[in-house]
Parts: sequence; structure tokens; C-alpha cells
Amino acid sequence: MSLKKNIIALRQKKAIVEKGGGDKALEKQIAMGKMPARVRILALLDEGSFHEYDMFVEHEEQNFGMANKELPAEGVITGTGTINGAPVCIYAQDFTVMGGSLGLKHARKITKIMDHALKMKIPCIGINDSGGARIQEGIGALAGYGEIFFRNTMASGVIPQLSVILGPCAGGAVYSPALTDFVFVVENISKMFITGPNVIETVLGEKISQEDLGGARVHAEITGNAHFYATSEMECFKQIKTLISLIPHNNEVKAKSVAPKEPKFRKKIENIIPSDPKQPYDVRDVIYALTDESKFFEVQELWAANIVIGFGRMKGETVGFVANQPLYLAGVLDCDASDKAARFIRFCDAFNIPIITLEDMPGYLPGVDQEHAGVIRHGAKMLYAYSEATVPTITIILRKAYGGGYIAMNSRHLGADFVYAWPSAEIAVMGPEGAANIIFRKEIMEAEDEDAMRQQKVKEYVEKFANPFVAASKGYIDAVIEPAETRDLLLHSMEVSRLKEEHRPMKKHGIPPF
Amino acid sequence: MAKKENKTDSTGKAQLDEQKANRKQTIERAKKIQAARKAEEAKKAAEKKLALKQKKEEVKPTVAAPSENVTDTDVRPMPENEKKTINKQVKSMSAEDKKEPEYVDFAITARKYKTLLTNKYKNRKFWINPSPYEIQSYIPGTIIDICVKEGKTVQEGDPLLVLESMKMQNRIDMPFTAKIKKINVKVGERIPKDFLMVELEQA
Repeated sequence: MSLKKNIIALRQKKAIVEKGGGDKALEKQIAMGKMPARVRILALLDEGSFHEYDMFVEHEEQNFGMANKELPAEGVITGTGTINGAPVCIYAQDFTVMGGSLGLKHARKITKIMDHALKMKIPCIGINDSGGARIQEGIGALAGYGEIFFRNTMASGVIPQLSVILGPCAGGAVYSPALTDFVFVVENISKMFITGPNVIETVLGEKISQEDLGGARVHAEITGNAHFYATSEMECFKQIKTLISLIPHNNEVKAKSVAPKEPKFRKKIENIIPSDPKQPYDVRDVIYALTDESKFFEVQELWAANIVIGFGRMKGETVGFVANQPLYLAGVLDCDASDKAARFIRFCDAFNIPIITLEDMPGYLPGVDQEHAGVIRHGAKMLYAYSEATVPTITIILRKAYGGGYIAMNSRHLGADFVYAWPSAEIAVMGPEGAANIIFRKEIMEAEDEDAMRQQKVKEYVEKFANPFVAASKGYIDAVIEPAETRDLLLHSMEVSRLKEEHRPMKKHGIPPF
Repeated sequence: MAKKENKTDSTGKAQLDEQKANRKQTIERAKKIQAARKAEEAKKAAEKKLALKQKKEEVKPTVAAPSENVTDTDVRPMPENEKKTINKQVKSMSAEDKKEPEYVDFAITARKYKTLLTNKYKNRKFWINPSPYEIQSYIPGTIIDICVKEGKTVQEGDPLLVLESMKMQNRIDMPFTAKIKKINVKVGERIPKDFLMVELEQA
């Protein structure tokens, strides 16, 4: 046979595999409002950049009528490509092939591409669309999942790992996304749960739909398992592209910088915050006033809205923002907010992204539900994450900084490199009303007009302590600055800390309060 | 498997009554708050509907318009390119915030802040002091046996009923000697978690 004939045979062979589960299954996939797996990869990656691996891998199962069953590409497409020029490893489960079910060889294709990503030190993106374990393969499927989880853990903090949930992802399969850094979900398409509605109904008698149990919205708003929520697959891919452009390839390099630009947001920064500390505002406006082109790529915007996290650029360089959000729950810290911020801080620290903290918080959320939910353990995660971080960290106290919250929001005491305060800052052990009630309890009780006395004492306390100068006099903050100076000062601080080196005691690993 | 601990051995009846009264109060308070919240939400929803209707009638031509007619404190003009990346739900959410920011008073220590509540916070469970006289299911499951009858006094440690869950038969024992006041379950009944199965009273 001549080479030409061989080439034709190869093309035919490839064409068969590329058809996936066949026309009928493809139609079904499209009818469900989902893109076929290959189309997804092509839509996400730069045009012409995708190169597929392991197209002809076959399963070895002999039982349950599997012996003669051909599964094109083993139900998962793997390969490499680029996103806006940045190289990535990618895999996409093909639901048209036996429901995207995971067998041992299917899993081995995934672990192979993950190993490749770790060796090449480039991000790994997984598109999940699978009915779960391939029951016919039994323990083989379980082994496969375990091998994936192990690699997720090994790669954690070395290369960015992204999970895109574009279909069902149930049972053990959901633990791979949970171990990765960012999870993307799409309305009406993503479904994630450990035990599905059927099991819940038969075992426990609770009736619930897939969407209500583990739909995109649930994970984006209630559980916090998802980081990015989109209404269509294309919107989701756009989010992935944006994220990949903002984060570095691995933990040894910095994120690629782009041409510096000025903020577009032209509302005066000093007019954003109401002078009355009880009035709310959207802290994202402060971020818009600081970042290049006023762009801010928010992470987990629906979950724990009382804290805002996300990426922006300052003079072309990626920074991470952590900011209390007075718009929701007065910007308190609670279990969810602490979890959300702590994980984000650790991501930034692992991947050399400076962290800017904007503080305006009245304290921890009081309540039985919070205490019983373990706010102590959850809140501690944030202290741990900030204390552990060795990337440049800059804190700006915008308004309120009370009590434990003052310490938690990357105070000097937790190792912040730069701490600045606006003149509106109130740094104190608690809000003036509470403090006055305790300190001047006797005076207030003994006064003829208790209320008038209380008012007077509160006023005294505000004048004396509800300002940044007590902390400044002790050197706990480096400078009291005008809001308009903030961006320049942030840029300067980043410039100064460009060569920052900070070392922690040698250890195998810390033991954060997981 | 005795689920409820025997906490009441040494406590007097007065104390129990007090606890019961407290509990009732808490429940009532929780109910009141919930009812008030529901009414408020219904009112808000109606208002929103009305506002939306009015807005539709006005027929605003552009999407960009809302950012111009808001007050200083709640303005949230996002840069154009950011707008695209933010999903529809959030857009509509913040659009609602803009029009009628229904800030509530939110007390942290002695000070009340104006702010919005998250759905999760609104839907949180109120804590109710558990009464030792109420035997609740600690896991959802099926009642497969009831060993006692109403009106009978049962000794501490005697089996009360069997609750099957996750293929495991859990025997619920009497936490302390008391009289069975009421049994709220039947054999074969499937019950959720925290279901009031048996009510006790002082023997």
C-alpha cells in the first residue's frame, strides 16, 4: 500500500472517531441545548490550535456485552491548544458516547493529559459532561476517578486547573471539579450532585428536581461550589478566555502583563463612599475607580455577596481584589464570606498575584446559625490564608474596621506589606455605640437622662477613636491617604514590592482549618 | 440507640415548664418574623410588578438610560466591556437595586446599618431550643416499628420505635422515664429529618 492510501485510510479512521456517538446521539445532544464535545473545544480554543491525542484508545472490558462495543475516542476528547496564545491542556467528555460514562481507559486518557499539563506547566481545562461511572466496568471506573483526584491534588497550586460543567456531573465525578481552582457552570445545562434526585426520593422520600438540587444557579448562589455562572456555553467560554488571560501558566511565573491603561470610571473616588458609616454603597465602584480600563473580573459574584473577590489589572499587571461589600449584609464576615475569601487568597498566593484588600466591615455576623455553622473554624481560614501569603499584600481601610474583622482583613499584624487608610477610616475594637455602652456604662446608668448621656459618650468616643489616627500613631498603618491618591499609591507599592522575598519556616505543609 | 440524651433526670418540673414556655415563645417569635417577612416580600413583589408594568408603559428606548436617573449613593455604572461579562441575572438584580434599593436595617452590635440581604440569609433557619419532651427524627427514613402506646409510661432506655434509614435500622430509645402523650407517626410512614415523631409528658 502506498503512503497515499495509508493517508486516506487514516483520514477515514479519524472521521469515524470524530463522529462520536453517531448522528442520532448528536441530535439528542443538540436537542438538550448542549454543544457536541468537539465543537466545544474548537469554540473555546484559538482557531486551528487544537491537537488531539489518543484518538484511537479503546476500552478492554469484556463483560456485560462490552466486548464488541466500540466507543469512539473512549468517550473523552483530549489534547492541547492555545487560548489567546496561551497554551493549555484540555479534555472534554463526549456525552454522545455511552453517556460520557467514565471507564478505566476514559479516565487514563484524562490522567495522561493531566500529567502532560503538569509536566509542561500549563493550565488544564476539563469539560465535564458525563452520566457517571461506566457501571459495566465496575471497580475499573472507580479506580479511574481516584487516579484523577490524585492528580488534581498533585497539580493543585502548581498549574491552574479549570473545570467546566456542561452537562451532568454526578456522584464521585463531582469531586474532581471540587478539587480544581475554578468551576464554571451554565444555566439549565450544568447539574452537579453527589446523590441525584432519584436516589434521594427512593431513600428519603424527598422530591426535588435536578435543577433545584444541583443546577447552575444553586451552585453559583447557595453552595459556592461554582465560581462562574453563565447563561450560555458561549458566554461561559468567554469567561474562561478572560480568566486564562489574567492568570499565569504556572506557579513559577507571573501572569502576562498587558499594555497599561488608565481607569475609565470617572466618578470621583472620594464621592463613592457615603460619609455616614451606616449607609451602603457598592464597593465594586471603588475597584472600578482603581483598575485599568475600570475592568474587574469578579469571581463567585452570586455567592456570599457580602465579600467581593476577583481579578483586575493595575498598570497592565494582574492583581487580586478582596473587598467587603457594604451593599449586602453590611459587608460582614460570615462562614461563607470567609471560605470564599480564604480560597481566593490562597490561589493568588500560589500563583504570584499581588492581593489588594479593601476594608469596610462592621464585624462578624451575629447569630445562632452562624455560631452553630462553625464561624470560628471558617473565619480562621481567612486569618490563615492572609498570614500564610507571601505575595505582595496591600490593605486599604476605606471606612469601618472593627474588632476581629480589622485583624482578619489583612491587617499589619497578619503580615500585610502596606496598610493605608482613608481619612474616613474608623479603626476600633467595636462600633462606637457598642464601645460607649460598655466603657461608660456606669456614667450612662447614673445619669439622669440616660439617652442624652449615651449620645454624648458615643460622640466622645467617635471623636477620640473612630478615626485612623490612633492606629497611625502606633505605626499599624503606614499612611493616611486621600482617596484620590489611592491608585498611584497602589501602583507605587506594587513597584516597590516587585522583588519582594519573604520566607516561611520549612514544613511539609501547614494544617489550615479546612 | 438512644438519640436524645437524658438531660432531665435532675431538672425539676418547673425548669422544664420554663424551658417549654421559652421554646413556645421562640417559635412564636420565629413564626411572627417569618410571617412579617413573607408579607413584606409579597408587598415588595407586588410593588416591583407594578413598577415594572409602569416602566414598560413608559417604553424606554435604551438600556443605558437607568444609570442616569439614580441617586449618588447607589449609582453603579459599570464600564461597557464589563457589562458584557456579567450575567443576566446579576444585571437584572442590580437593575432592581438601582430602581428601588430596599435597604433594611441590619444590626451588628449596637449599630444598625442600611443594607440588602442575601437570599441565603433570608432563608436561614431560626434556631429553636429543642425540648426533651419532643422526640424528633435525626435522619429522614421510614418508621418500621412502634413499640409503645399513647398514655403509657415508659422506662428510660426502653425502645420507642425503629426508624430505618440508609439501610440501617435505628432503634430510638426512651431518653428518660415519661408518659407517651402522642405518637405522630404510623408504621410504614416515611418521614423527613426533624419530624416530631413522639410527644412525651411528665409521668
